[in-house]
Amino acid sequence: MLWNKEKSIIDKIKAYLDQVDRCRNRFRVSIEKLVLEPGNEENQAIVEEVHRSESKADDLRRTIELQLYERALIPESRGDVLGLLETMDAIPGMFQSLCYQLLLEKITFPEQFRERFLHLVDVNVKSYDLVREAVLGLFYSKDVKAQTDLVDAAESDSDHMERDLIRDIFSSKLDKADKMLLKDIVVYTGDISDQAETVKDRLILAIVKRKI
Amino acid sequence: MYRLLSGIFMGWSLGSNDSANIFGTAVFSKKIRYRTAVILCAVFVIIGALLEGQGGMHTLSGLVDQTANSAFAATLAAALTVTLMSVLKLPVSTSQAMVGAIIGIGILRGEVNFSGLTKVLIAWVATPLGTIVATLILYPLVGALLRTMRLNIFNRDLILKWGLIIAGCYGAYALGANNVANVTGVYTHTGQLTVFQAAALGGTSIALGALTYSKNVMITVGKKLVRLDPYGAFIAVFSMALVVHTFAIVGVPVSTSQAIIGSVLGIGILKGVQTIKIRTLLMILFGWIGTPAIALMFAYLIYRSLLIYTIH
Repeated sequence: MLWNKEKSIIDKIKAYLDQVDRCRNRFRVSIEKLVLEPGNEENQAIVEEVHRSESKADDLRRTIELQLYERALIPESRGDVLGLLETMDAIPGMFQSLCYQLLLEKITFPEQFRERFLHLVDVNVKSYDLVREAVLGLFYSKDVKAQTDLVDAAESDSDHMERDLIRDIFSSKLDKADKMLLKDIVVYTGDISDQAETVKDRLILAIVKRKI
Repeated sequence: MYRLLSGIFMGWSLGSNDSANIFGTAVFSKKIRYRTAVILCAVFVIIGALLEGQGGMHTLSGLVDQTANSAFAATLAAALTVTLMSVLKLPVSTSQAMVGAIIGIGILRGEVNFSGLTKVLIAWVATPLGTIVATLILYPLVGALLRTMRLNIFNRDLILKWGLIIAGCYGAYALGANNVANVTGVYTHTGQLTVFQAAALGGTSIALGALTYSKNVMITVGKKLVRLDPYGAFIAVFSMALVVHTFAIVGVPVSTSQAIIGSVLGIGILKGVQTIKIRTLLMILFGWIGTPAIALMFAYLIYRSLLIYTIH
């Protein structure tokens, strides 16, 4: 019976991460549309899908939080798990914000930067994928060390790409205002891997605290 | 029969002081509620006292030949001392208080069995040393076992929570088995109680102390003294229970307070970190030195008064 209680929370955490995955998939599709077909009327609808999947993930996280407060885990571990989920939950929020930013500010990426920007998006999405697996490892007794090292590597790749892209944007003949808008988008995209790294740091702390 | 009241008082003061050593870390790391902890403590103290409480009674009553009045005076003096320390929120040794009191009476009567006293004194040194050794062995051993189990965060929590509860219950059992002798052991020698009656009365009164007045000292042990993670707390309590139970089998009343400090020191040696708050530790050490001395003085005064206003 006690095992069932814990198992139910692990199942909910898995369901939450699956929901964040759905949000991630929709984000990836939306971003491509927004970058490659900036004026497309369908873009609004696909961004709304990102928003809906983000909201669902939020709801699931709240359910887990309540269940944790009501009946599971000792306070120290509860704090660690809640902190981890809340830090993780910032990522789907960033997916959503980035889509809205591109949509509402009607940002058009010049041809020469599109491919590199989408590559930057992929690296940041990958950092989420890696940290997601690492977080899941905490609940399924897996060794997450290798996974967390890869999160660091992805974050570092993202930093390099971000700097190169910003340098090239400002070296181009674009209008200064456009340069600023594009820079903000690039920096915000890079923030996803920074956030993944923050999740990873919390995860490592939770593991080290429990090391015997 | 009024003389038995001092025994009940002694049991109550022991329960109020020593429950902290058993469940203090678990309660204040919020792995178990205070209420649940004291109820479990009470139940297992009684079981321990009834099943294995006889051994120490012979040792204590052998220190000095007891009369009904001397038994009353010794128990009352020890109880007053331990209560005083509980008010000061210090975990102290009831064994030391009782032995201090018995020696106080022995001095007044000019008869102390020093061979019995040596056994008790060796046990006092051996208790913290024993728990240090037990901790040094158990900590890596149980740790290796847990690592092979590859637990996730939930299972690990669950195992440690139940480990702490079970170790606490075992600790309470060991406390009852070992320390009931301090409470009512003297009455068996005077013939006022049979061994079973002494164990039952002693166990119940210890349980009462745990149930009604154990929070203060528990705060000192759980909050102000020890900074242990759940695993460290489990090993500390389990080592304490193991050593105190061993002494119960041998028949020597020892201190759970000294035992738990030994455990925590053991973990400090292993982890190389400061697990004890030095200021609080010094206060406790002061309590340890002061306890037998104050009890000796109380016993001397009480017994002397009894002799003067003889109620033989």
